[in-house]
Amino acid sequence: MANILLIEDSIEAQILIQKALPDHAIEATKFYHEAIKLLETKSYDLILLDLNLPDGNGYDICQKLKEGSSLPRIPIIMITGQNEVEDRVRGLNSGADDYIPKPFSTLELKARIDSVLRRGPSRADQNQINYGKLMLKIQEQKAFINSENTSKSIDLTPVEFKILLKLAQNQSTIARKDLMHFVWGKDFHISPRNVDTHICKLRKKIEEASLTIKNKRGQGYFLAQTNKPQPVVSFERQLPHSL
Amino acid sequence: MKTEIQIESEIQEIVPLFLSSRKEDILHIQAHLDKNNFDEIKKIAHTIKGISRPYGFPSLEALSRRLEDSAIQKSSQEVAKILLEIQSYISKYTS
Repeated sequence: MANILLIEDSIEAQILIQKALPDHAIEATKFYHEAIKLLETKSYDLILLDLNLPDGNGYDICQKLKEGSSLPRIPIIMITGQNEVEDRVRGLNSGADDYIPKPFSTLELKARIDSVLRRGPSRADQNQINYGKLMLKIQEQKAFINSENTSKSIDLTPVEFKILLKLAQNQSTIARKDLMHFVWGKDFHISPRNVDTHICKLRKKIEEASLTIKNKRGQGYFLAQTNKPQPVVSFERQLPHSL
Repeated sequence: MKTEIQIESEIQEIVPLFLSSRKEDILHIQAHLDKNNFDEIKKIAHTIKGISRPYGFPSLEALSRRLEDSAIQKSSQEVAKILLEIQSYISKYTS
């Protein structure tokens, strides 16, 4: 099951697509600005994008996502009634991964979604993990807080980065012991209080991303949004051996 | 509910909603036609064109394509004619 953001101005097309894709979790909006907000605060595996929106243009969303914006890079399939060759070329050139002209067959839609999802995130994306406004660059070991037009770096120690990465990758609670093994290795003996100190400092550093680290008594730690429901992480990624 | 071509069962459930929305569209198009508001007619026709086939109504797609073209040409006579055809087509599936 994939988390899909559907940006489509026709409510009936939204319903149609949602019905046609029962195996995926679909969140839909018809507005450009709402779509940008959702992309800043939640994680998706794929975007289905219409071009004509009441308050903006699908091409702008596409370009914003693909050209160095602070927003995460997510595969995009354009679904649109603008079917001239020039429209398709413009769509693909602006960064879409595929283009489905309306009217579309629901079977073709499913097949194209599966095809794009099979390709997975690009090599560049495999180095990146997003959790709400938080963006972690794995190879560089850097963390950023994203907002609509900016991306602010967070100053983390290597240990703090590893803790945050593990929490962002893990979609459920992680035991303190497992966290310690991940960060310091099994053979390194360290006081549990030491972990708590790092967690305490991290909480302050990620506050601006509206995130916190919660402690479930007897079970461990998990990452959560302070003012919104917990998002789902976009991709499961393997940590490079170098870390 | 009857459709022109066979569609998936999940979509069948929402065909009544689709048809009732088209009835509303007909009223809106008529109102826009009275004011020669061809841009709005074009937008509605464009939307219908895009979703009719997956809902099981390919002939409606063809009719709305003609309606969109007529609206672009600002031909009120042609728009009125096609609107009647759409009305008659929709009534076959809703009566």
